[in-house]
Amino acid sequence: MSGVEIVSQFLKDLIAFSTLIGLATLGELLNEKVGVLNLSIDGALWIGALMTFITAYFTGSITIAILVAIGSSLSIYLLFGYMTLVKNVDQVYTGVAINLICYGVCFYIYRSIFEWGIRDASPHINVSLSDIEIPYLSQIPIIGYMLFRQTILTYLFLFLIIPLIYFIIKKTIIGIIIKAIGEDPEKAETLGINVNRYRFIILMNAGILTGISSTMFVLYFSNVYLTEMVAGRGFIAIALIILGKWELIPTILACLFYSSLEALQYRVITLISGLFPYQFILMLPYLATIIALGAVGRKVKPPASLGKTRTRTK
Amino acid sequence: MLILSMAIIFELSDLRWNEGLKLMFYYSYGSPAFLFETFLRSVPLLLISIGLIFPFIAGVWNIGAEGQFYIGAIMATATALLLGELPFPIPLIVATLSSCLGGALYALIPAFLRVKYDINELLTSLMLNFVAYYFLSYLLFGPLKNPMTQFPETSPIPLSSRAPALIPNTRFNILTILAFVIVPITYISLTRTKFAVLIRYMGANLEAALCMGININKLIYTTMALSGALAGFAGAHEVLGVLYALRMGISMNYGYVGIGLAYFGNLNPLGVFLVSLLAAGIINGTLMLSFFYNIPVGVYQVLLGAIPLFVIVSRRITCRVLNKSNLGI
Repeated sequence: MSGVEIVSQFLKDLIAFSTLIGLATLGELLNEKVGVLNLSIDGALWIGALMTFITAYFTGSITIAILVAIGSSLSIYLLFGYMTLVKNVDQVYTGVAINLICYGVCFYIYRSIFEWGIRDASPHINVSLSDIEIPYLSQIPIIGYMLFRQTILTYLFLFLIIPLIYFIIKKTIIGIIIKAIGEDPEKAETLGINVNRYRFIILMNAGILTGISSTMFVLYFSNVYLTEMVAGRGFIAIALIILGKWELIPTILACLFYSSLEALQYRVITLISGLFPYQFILMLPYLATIIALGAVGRKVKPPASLGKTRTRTK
Repeated sequence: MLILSMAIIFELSDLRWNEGLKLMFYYSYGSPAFLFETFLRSVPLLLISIGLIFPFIAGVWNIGAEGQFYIGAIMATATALLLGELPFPIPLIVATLSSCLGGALYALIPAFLRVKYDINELLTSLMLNFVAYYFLSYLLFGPLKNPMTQFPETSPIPLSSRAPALIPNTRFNILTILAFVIVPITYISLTRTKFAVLIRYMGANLEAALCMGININKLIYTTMALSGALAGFAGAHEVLGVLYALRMGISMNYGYVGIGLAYFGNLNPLGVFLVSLLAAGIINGTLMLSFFYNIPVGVYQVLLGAIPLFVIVSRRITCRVLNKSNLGI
């Protein structure tokens, strides 16, 4: 491989990874902007990845798999929303509990279907998201390889979801309402805003984004399911939001920074596995995020009501 | 509700529910041997969740018990292997202390980041779990790998650093007793000391505590270090008292389960003690069942994950019945 090829392959991986982590992060960012700290994102990613795998295994259809993943991720978020918004349970506690359930459920379902149900020694799926080359644009040397030879999900993320969220947050009244709810839900409520309804709607949208993101694990980066596949990327998404100071553009930049580490690890691991213990490369994203958090440190200010349980005034 | 959901899962797994429950009870508490195994299983859960009581009361989110447990186990194994054969109690004591120290230091990293840079300790402690996990994996595939076997595990630790079994034919050892002794100690320290009052203030109202001149930073360090040390001790118990070696699957999500148990036990050491016995029973019962009856192993994780939610819901119901205001959480 020549130098240009390596660079363009690296950039292509970078954008693909940023789709995965970016979708989840943007969903979570919207959540946190209205003051909901949703830790169950990790569990939703686990369930989403497993459901994608199972559906794709049995039906062989990508569309159905993505829909099922969105549905399962939504159901996790629905449970979270019910506990925190309706029952007013502590958000962190609920998130951790739901994550535990999800880990257990994933383990259980996977074992019961593939080791105990149909006894497939190494189950894998034959379908995967294929790259779509956009005519003419994909011929541009590096940029074309990086941006215009991606999967449909990446196009959706780059050219629809990011602009849409940017437009909603910056240009519409909804963006202002979101900010108001995040900073002071009580005052927002006195202005006649139905805080819980907004929080719930945004939670559901985040659920859809997380569901789409979780399909990337099995449909693009791999064709098998591993229990440790997600490996805390949901929590990384939350850390990236802190890195991005709860602002849209810096958060996307943080996602790109993180995906560059992931892309590096994805390719490099095969190149230098003999020289360097691969576990240290796997540690890299976590350590780098912690260090980067330290660098940003005190300068960040979260939405004032983030993570606080609030009883509704009647 | 717990029993109901267990029944549903047994039914899903092609087992009559009443048979399943009976067998599960038998395998967890039914005979002395199984009972001792359950006690043994409860120790890591007990230690981790008792440790977590302190930061949770203070409103400090330590989610990193899993990583601290790994570091404790690594320290215990490394010390035991390094010291080799020495006169009996010395290696055991040194290994236990070093694992406590390792866990505490590992827990101090997020505490330090919180105090110095105001970073949410929840995220950093959580991410350090994965760092510890990969570090363990590196050690087990690299420097500490047992040259005699193909599995990712260390060589067995020398005899002199093993905790002596107190009851013949069981693995019920001196560290287990020590772990149970910690329960009343914690209870007293949480009810009778100034420290307990301070962390309760801090947890109830951080700003008020600041106004009263309480040294918040010191409390963050202390609570994190305490929970880390106890999680490290749990690791030492598993290595020195039960397995006599370090393996990949040494923790069965103990760190995460411990969070749920600390709350399920109502942040009270005695409650946590009972709850961890229950959880250990569930784990052992389902493990035995899945061993004998071909049920997938993940069952206990589903159950343990569901416990906290059941607790919340049932507590709400009691609140409503008694027509009282919120009982915490």
